[in-house]
Amino acid sequence: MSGAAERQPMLQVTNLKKYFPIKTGVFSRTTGYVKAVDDVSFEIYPGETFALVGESGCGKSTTGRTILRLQNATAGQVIFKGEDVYAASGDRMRALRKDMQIVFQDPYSALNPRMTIGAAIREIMRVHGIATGNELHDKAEQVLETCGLQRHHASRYPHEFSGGQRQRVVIARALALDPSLIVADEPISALDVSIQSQIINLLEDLQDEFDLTFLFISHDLSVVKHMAERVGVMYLGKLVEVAGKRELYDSPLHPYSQALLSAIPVSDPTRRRERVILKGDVPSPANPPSGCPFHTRCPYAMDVCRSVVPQLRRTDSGRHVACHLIHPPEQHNGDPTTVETRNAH
Amino acid sequence: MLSIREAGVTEILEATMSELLQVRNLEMSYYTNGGRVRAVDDVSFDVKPGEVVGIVGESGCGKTAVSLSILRLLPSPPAKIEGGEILFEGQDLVRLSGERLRRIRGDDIAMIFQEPMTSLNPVYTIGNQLIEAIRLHQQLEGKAVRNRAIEMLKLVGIPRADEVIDEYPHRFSGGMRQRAMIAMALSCDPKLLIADEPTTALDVTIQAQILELMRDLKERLHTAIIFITHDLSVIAEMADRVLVMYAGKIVEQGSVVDLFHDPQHPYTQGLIGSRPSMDVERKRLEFIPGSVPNPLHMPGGCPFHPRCPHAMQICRREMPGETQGENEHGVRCWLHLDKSDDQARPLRAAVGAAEE
Ligand SMILES: Nc1ncnc2c1ncn2[C@@H]1O[C@H](COP(=O)(O)OP(=O)(O)OP(=O)(O)O)[C@@H](O)[C@H]1O
Ligand SMILES: Nc1ncnc2c1ncn2[C@@H]1O[C@H](COP(=O)(O)OP(=O)(O)O)[C@@H](O)[C@H]1O
Ligand code: SF4
Ligand code: SF4
Ligand SMILES: [Mg+2]
Ligand SMILES: [Mg+2]
Repeated sequence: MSGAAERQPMLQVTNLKKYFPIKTGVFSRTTGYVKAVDDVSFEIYPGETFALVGESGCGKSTTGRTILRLQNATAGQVIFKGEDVYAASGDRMRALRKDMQIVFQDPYSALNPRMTIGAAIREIMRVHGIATGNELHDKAEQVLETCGLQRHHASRYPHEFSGGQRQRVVIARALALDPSLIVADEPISALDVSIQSQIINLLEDLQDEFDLTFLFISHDLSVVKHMAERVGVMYLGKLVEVAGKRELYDSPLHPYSQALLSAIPVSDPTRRRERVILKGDVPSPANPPSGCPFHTRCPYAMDVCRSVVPQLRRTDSGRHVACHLIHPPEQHNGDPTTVETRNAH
Repeated sequence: MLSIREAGVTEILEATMSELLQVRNLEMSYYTNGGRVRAVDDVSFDVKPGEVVGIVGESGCGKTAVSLSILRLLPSPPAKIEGGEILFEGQDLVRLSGERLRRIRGDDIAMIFQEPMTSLNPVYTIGNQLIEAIRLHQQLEGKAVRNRAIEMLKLVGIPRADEVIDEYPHRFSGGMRQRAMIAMALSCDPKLLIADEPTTALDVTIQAQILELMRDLKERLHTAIIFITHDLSVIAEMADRVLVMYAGKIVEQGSVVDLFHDPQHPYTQGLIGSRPSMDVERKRLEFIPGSVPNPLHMPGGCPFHPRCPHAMQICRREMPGETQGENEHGVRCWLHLDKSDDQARPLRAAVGAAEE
């Protein structure tokens, strides 16, 4: 977004890592790590939608969960509204949790089948001290209405709703806490095609009305193009490019971004996209390639790519890219515009 | 390179003259504890040799039911074909049984599924399974079969085919399994390949690989393909002709260009309009109100009427027949049929407010 540089970020993620131990044998010895998130840095500004895209297993959800501390990070820093999330304890953490909500892909498992949806929303509002007594009922019904349901739906159980309606309930429950940031992890992937645009419209309306900031996780690149202002592209636990939506879709710089965007099917049968067809499969994050994680599939891979990890660095145009083609390795030393130095504490 | 059907050129030429598959008024229901689900309801379409026919529709609209009916792979009970014909090169598959059905299924029609693991046997190597399939359908023995299997794996773009052939399916990634499935399906050199959501479980860069492979195979082998997906963009890229299904019925069919540039049915229009476009940026997305109906409580008349912005009195009572436009562009909607003023009265005043 223009002017983003002068504003204070709402969320600042610095060198975030999440390694899952791989345990084998009868004694469950740790024999290695899945580097689900490996040194990821980005920030999100108030009121914007920042999207994380990338293929299955690249670490999008893990990034979202570690930001909210639903899972503890292995290393790194998460600053939300100026407060270090990983330094927060007890009460502070509860307050932060209220202010940072998450909406998952599967609205079926997100709701307790034995609780009416009104009770579920009231429960969470009570826990966070949003309201008491009769006010609880009114507020719960109000938030359902805001999310496109009806007040009388409050007395119904989750199974009485369609998938799209359930996702509305899940969004209402998040909204009931009046959060600033919502992490939406594939919020429409489990829904029927004809329902998806209803939910996208709802999220956008809520964003306008309540000044929400979104971390939007998705593998649907057309939806991301519609929703997001800025986009981070992940590959094997690393951010390989961060750019404004328009810059990224018009001229992706990282070879993986180029391949990913060119792979999107075109919904116009009279047009053909020029396509970069990648060779081979995504390597296992338990055993990622040395150097640039993309070098096994990159059409431009050079010798240096096999040994030196490219860092996410700022380009002249203000985008961030991790690729030796864009930033030849010998120029790295002392480069004042790297993300690392910019975020130095 | 391998050319599976070089020997059969004259056979293709002969067949081009007629339809390969003709499905006529097919009716298929599942009898469940909750009642009867009309999974396929009065479905008719043709597939010409070498043609790619796409079937698109939301989850539960009957796409898989159509393909399982053609292959006669339905679990019975609860499934029952209750009417219609499935003519494959003139033979009615509905009335075929036993050995003759098996022959057609093995030699002429093959299928690939969404989740390749369900059709690959985990206890045998990829090679064993492929060799078995080749032995069944081709007069080859010994070393020749194995070489043929390696050739097939190379054909579908599996690297190091001569080593990989001895590995078990679980060592394969999703994309490689789908390639192995395609190799297996092609090993019988089918005239018709039914691909049911073959890339839905795959990542987009891998999907691009598989679609490229299928396009290439179609060009080279001239196999007719029924390509099933819920993804409109994938259909736009793959199909020559498209069938749009809703609630067990084909509501519109036509050439892929007609369908995307001039959709006639309100459901098709809604589907196309509600996808964010990669080219045009819009402030708000169009949407189809409501949700997909419960198959046990299907609305009467046109099943789309509770969600349709143009619904009229008659839509609630009667399912419209098909009208054919130019270029075999067919649509089933009362907007395109004669009706009285009374029948044409709008069903509801203004639509848009109630989203669900
Ligand atoms: N609890 C866990 N224990 C071990 N490994 C995990 C765990 N959670 C995730 N992983 C691994 O971490 C990597 C990243 O997973 P993550 O769920 O973040 O990916 P994703 O980008 O959200 O993928 P998808 O698009 O499939 O949702 C994967 O290799 C995954 O298998
Ligand atoms: N084995 C089954 N038993 C009962 N009902 C089924 C079975 N398989 C599918 N159905 C029902 O038949 C209808 C069509 O399903 P299907 O052909 O699988 O749809 P699609 O492939 O388009 O998603 C749905 O209502 C579904 O619930
Ligand atoms: S660093 Fe090398 S391998 Fe990695 S994306 Fe750039 S050119 Fe390709
Ligand atoms: S028949 Fe009626 S309800 Fe059905 S799509 Fe046409 S106008 Fe709409
Ligand atoms: Mg995920
Ligand atoms: Mg299906």
